[in-house]
Amino acid sequence: MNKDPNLEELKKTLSQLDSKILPSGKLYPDNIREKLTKRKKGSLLARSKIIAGIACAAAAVLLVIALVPSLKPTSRNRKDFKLKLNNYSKVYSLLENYKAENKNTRGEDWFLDGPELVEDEVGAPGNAPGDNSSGAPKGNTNLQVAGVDEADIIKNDGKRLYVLSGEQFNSNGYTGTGYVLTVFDCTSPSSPRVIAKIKYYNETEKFAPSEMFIREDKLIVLGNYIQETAYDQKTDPGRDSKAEIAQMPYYYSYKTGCIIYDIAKDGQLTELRRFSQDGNGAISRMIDGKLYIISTHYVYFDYIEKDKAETFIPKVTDTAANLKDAPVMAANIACMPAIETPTYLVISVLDTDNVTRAAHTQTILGASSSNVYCSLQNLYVTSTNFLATDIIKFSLKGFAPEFVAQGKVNGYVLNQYSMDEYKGNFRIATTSYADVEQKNDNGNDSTVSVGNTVNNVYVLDKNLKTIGKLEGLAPTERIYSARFDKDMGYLVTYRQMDPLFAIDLSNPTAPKVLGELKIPGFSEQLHSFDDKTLLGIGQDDDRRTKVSLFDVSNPQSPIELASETLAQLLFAKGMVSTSDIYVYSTAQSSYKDLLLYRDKNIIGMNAWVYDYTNVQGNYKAINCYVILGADKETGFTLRKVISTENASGYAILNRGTYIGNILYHITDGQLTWYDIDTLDLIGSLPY
Amino acid sequence: MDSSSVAAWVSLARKGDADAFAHLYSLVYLDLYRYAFYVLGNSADAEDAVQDAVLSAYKDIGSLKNAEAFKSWMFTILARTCKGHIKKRIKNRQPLNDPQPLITEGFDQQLLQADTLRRAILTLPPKSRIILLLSIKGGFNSADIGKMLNLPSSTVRSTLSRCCTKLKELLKEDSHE
Repeated sequence: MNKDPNLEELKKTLSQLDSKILPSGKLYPDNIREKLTKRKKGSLLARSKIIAGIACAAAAVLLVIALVPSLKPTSRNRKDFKLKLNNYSKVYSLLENYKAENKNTRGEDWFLDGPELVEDEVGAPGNAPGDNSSGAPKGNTNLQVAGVDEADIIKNDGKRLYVLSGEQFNSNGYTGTGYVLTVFDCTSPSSPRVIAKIKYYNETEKFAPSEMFIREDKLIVLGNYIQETAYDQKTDPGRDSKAEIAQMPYYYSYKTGCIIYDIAKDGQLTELRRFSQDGNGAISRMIDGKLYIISTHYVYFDYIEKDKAETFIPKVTDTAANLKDAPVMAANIACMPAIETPTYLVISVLDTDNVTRAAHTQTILGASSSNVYCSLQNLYVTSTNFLATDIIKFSLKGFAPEFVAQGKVNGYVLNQYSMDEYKGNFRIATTSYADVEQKNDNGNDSTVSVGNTVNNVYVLDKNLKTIGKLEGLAPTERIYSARFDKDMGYLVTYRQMDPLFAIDLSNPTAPKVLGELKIPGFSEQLHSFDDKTLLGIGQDDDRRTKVSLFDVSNPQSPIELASETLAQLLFAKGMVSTSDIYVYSTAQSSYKDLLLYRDKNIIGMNAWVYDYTNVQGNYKAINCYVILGADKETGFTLRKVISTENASGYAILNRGTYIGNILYHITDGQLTWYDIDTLDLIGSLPY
Repeated sequence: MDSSSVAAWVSLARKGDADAFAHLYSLVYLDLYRYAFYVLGNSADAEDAVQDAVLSAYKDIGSLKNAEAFKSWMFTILARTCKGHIKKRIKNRQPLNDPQPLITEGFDQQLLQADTLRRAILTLPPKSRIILLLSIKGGFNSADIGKMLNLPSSTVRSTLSRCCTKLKELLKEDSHE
């Protein structure tokens, strides 16, 4: 990865002290082992007499059950949920209740709360149909659902490229990386020029951009508002110690939102509107000019005050409505039937076509969001609570998303591509921990969990009631990628081999496995290559990025048509001296990093090449961009390697896109362009 | 750590095997202890934090989804435990910045300089400390840290860069004195 020289320096200096920092015997592994063993015995004695005298391994297994609540798929009635709160003091008393009930487990609400360790975000993009409305074909962000736009760090409207990149800057002798928005005019595709630039790292901006949308003549830059001063404004008589405040300047500073610019005037970005809402982990979607922003806001119990709604209700800032840190309206606050986490799910919708129209924000106490699936009609927000996934469904018919139903399934969801809506039903693939029935020697029945993973597919009806399910697939493995395609579903699970499952969903109440294929390594993304072929991007057993083509024309027996690692492809082209090098692409796990343009046979992605052979005792890491071609008969070929050596900064950005016959490659500080057929270099522009 | 053998140990530990868990712990315990020491400033708190973290990790081993992520999972729990210790100190109105003396003898300039850095880190806000040390002692990148603490990686990056700036200032002041 990119190493910050400043951090490396600190690390080096500090490591000199390591020999002075050694724990006492209390932490020695042997002593810890003893503690764990004692603990186990203690727990067992407390549990039950049945297990006394049985073998240690079985006893340990039993220990696990108590920690695993029974989580059968259920769905709740709509009435259960719709607890409108209408006034702030009701919300306050709910929070106080929660606080009292969770006294012992609390102390977690400072800033580290949230879902457990999340898996790598990986996904399998849907086919991004080119926007054919105006002239030349152009590269688009990989979208899951046609018509439901997703934000990205590069946007391309066929005439201009909008690029968020990193740039080194100097401030008081310190070199850091800041974010820059650059607009390239590409009306003449083979001679792009910079027409506008905004630097977001000056002191006054206090906005850290993350991704963008384009809607007609507007550019929407999403990001986080930095609010270091939030704590200073807090006036708590019991906490007025200046020193203490100085220790915590970043107290509740999570605000997520956007800046909307007018881009109609050539070369100018005119700021039209600013919006923010409390919460982090923002997820966004845009449908026909309606921008949805979804975040999770944590409640900071130590600082809530009954008479001050702003201390316990999520706040909104919207220049269109002259709102500045205003608590969400009481009428738009609802509550889950049981508050299991001290969080609010916050959902706003902005009309980007009408910048003077106030945003609508609603919030649900006790809910949160970790993944979102959005169709043209409905929004599904999921949150994983260790072993089960809660799903909340909203209808997008009106301007404000309206609650429809709530459901729950066993297991956790990998990412948005594990979910899909088809014919009104919601399909979801999860990985869960299996309960394995075991009988004790003395004949007593007992169910024990051995903590093994299994994989499941559920079909839920429009009210999120489970109507069909397929449970217990691929024990001990977990889902690495999923793709639903009408009546079919494909799952890649992995432990050692990469089984690709083809699942028949034509009867929603009885999904069944049609076929499976086992191959080494696994795919983290599955794309439609054509009607009968899937393109997989993943890694082999040595964790090197590989590309595969699967023929699924006969779902009973999927066939691997071709499979190559990037290392092999580079070696075959003579780019490296041996195929035994480590080559990795982030496109493997990040679907937006993949450029797929089937008509021109272009599969583009970044690549990190770690060459251990040329440099004695050390390795050389080279960052480049590769363009592959794929053919069902002849397999994969390496068509082009683009060097990024000239890129400045830490190469945050290494992406490709196209307009008409020009392929663009963009890194921090450098735009280069190529003929899309021959891939010959045409020009380059430092920016 | 060799990832495949770690995965094997994790699967044993998940079945409740204390020996397997202790083995996994032995691979990372010095890193864990040093992390907690740098965050909390003294050995007593650091040992408590590591012990609490290990016990709660053993209890929750079922929540470790990805065996390869053992180290980051362990560090996530430890970071949370350290946070709890800091909270307790705030509540009891104990100072957050009282480094235990480490270099008590000798005039090794490099060691003294390193100790000055350690003390400077202890003057950073707790959250920044937790993040910075996950980077420089835990060896995690900003995307990893973001996932561990459930923060946007942009927040992690900006915190890290603020920390570097701040430490530079602090160390500059120190050398002028």
